[in-house]
Amino acid sequence: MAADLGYVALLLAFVLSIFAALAAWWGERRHIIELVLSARNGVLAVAGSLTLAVFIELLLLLNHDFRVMYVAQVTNRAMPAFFKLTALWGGQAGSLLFWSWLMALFATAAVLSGWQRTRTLIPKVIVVTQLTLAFFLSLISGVWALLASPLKALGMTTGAELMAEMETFTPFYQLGLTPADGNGLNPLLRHWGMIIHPPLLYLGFVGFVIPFAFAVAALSTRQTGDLWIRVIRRWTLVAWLFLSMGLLVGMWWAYGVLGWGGYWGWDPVENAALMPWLTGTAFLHSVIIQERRGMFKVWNMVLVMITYSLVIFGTFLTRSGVVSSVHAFAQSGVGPLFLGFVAATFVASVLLLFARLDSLRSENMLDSLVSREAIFLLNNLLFLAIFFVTFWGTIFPVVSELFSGQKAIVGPPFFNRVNGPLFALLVLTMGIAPLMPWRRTSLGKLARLLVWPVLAGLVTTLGLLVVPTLRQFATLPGTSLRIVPVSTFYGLLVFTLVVIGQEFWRGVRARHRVTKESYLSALSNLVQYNRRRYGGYLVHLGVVMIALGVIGTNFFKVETQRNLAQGESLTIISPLTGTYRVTYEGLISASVAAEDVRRTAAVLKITRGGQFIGLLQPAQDFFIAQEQAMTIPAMYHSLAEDLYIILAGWENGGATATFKAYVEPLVNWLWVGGLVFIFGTAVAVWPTQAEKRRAAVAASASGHAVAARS
Amino acid sequence: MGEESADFLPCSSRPTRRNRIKFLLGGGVIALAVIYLIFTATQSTAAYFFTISELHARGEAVYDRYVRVSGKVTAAAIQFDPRELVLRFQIADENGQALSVVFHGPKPDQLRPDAEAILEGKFDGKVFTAQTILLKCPSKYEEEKGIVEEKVEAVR
Repeated sequence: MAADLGYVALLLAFVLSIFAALAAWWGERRHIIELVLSARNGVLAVAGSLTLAVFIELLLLLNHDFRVMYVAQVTNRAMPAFFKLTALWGGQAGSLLFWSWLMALFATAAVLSGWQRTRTLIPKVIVVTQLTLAFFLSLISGVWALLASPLKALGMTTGAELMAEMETFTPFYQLGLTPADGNGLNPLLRHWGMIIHPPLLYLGFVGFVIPFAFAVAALSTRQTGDLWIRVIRRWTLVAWLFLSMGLLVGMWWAYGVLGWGGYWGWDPVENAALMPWLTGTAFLHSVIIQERRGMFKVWNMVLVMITYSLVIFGTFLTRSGVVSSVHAFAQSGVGPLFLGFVAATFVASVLLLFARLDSLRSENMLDSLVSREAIFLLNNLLFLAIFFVTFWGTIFPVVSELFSGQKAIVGPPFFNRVNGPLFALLVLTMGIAPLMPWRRTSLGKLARLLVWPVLAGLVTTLGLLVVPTLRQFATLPGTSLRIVPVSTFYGLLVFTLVVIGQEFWRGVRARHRVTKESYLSALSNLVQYNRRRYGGYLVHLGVVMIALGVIGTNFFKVETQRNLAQGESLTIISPLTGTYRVTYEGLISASVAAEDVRRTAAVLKITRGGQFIGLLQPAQDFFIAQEQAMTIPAMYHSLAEDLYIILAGWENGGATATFKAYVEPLVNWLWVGGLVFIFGTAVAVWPTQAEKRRAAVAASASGHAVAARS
Repeated sequence: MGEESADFLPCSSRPTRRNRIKFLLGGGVIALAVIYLIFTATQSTAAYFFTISELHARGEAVYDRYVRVSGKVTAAAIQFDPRELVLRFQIADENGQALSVVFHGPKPDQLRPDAEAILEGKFDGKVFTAQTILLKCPSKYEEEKGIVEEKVEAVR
């Protein structure tokens, strides 16, 4: 009953989204204001009925209504209520419903907030967002199954089968009989990281649809001036903020839960989220050039379009199983439909771009290689290069099979080897860019600003090259330290750090001199009145800290594994602090809050340099209903490093047990840097007082204009 | 920033065109460098997927290459030395071709007869030394289509 209602709400949203798109398109074309208004109401109605659908799905999940297939797939009776709610995005159909709901909310926000200031763009924004939404809703409302019999009649049996399968691919599909219990949520997903990771990622994905919609609207109506760029900047930043948080939380989850001592494996699903982030970041930088100098207009359009395609492609990658991945999502008929949609929208946007090339003439030319524009161009090339490398590596299995008939993959060594140097160059441009004035500068002027940062960077690199302990460490077995790249990379980081510090110092000193404020309030006012600029620097500071951790874990990581009898110990040498000794004291069975989980933990005594520092309890959780074991790593945290231990197995009731131990140097800088990064983005996104005032004035002015016209 | 000067003089076209060439050249060099990097790194790190029969057929050509091979774990011959962490087992493909595997690390829970194993590592003609083992077992999640994957890695 409730499931039927939910399904009707879903179908209604699907129909309404198509209606809104058509009404907006036709209304704009024929100048029928009533139709455009009706389209706007349609957008609201779509959001409303999807909210209802999500609400009903949550009720079904809470009430373990196992007649609904989706509910039976992702929940069981023993699960705590909280996880039942989060099971909304624990499976494919549910997560697509969730995606669509977020999309509808974003579309509503974009249409309502842009209604006054960007009225001329709104109809096309409605068309793009609602068509995208209609595609997603078509997947989960079972409408593709209608194609099954026509396809069969045409003799296309595979296609017909795939389409017929789509009938069950809705979160409201009901089974003929009610199973006694459901399967439960994959244990790996029962972690707060996995609870907030998908929503953040989806908010990021969905958010990038809005800039694309405005871009298409601006292009097709030839309003390619300042208007759309101003509108989408904040939308892009918001989407980017969520995507960044999603990536960081995902890494944190992988590190804390998956138990392999790493946080990033260049897995297709990870790459799927990284790729739109890369192109989106490139756009955030190059759009500044368009605002300041009226250049790179075509380039910016291309970036927005690629990012949109990558967002859809990313959802496709995670939901189709076309590239084998460690993430446990299954193969399904959703794949071909997604690919078709990505291809169609990409081709359509490229055609639109070509048809409108004349309205995207650059207002200025690049004046000099030594200018901020040139550095931004280099930065964009690097982001695109990293994107392309990642893309190539991700689709390589498909490509190689297509062209050589032999399936092959490239793993982390490929990505690290190619992207590593590119990231290093990116850090360099990040450091230099703030020092570069617009248009052109003399090399002498630049040199004066560069003295201290370059000096600091060089001292760091040379210093690291001659540190004897590092050299000794590089020769130890089980380590992968290569001195030259590490020293270079850290030199670049210090260079960038000094540039950022210098920028803050110059700003604070100037303010202090002019306004006679104390240094501290000069700093806070400086940031407050130039949120974009100093927020950006804070983001860069976060990146430097993240890089510190990434390089540390990539080059200094130590790992070892041993089978220990009770009372025996293993040792692991840290490159930064001292030698850890890990002694196995025995096995205990511990209790866990969830009733369907049995935990077995090993008690380990840890000393460092002979000093006792604590007990660690790495564990294995056994999920009774799923007959699945899950390792729970134990960690000893410090700013210098983590000691990370996994219980890999045991024999004879715990008389002996196997452990893997890792020393993860500087890894916590990654998480702290992530927080700084997010804080910086928030600073940049937050509207300044001046912007708020301007927005209010603009809104009332256009309100008057509308009133005057009508 | 107050660094901008009010420079309204029209730029002469010659330096701009020269600039343009400079930029195109610079961009081209970067693009070529990246393509070269991708090309060489792909060549040296790509792991080809082989069936067991193919692996045997290729002989010495693949002996030092990092390859990926898959097959079903055979019921017999799963040996594990927990003290030394040496795992030995066999996989076989549909044609009955078998491959002996050695792995230095803990025994994965999902390593059972008939589990689908995807191994990455090197073959020396006799034994396949696995660096990673990825096991796929039928799962209850997501209906019959779903799989549980478990990935374990040997320590360097």
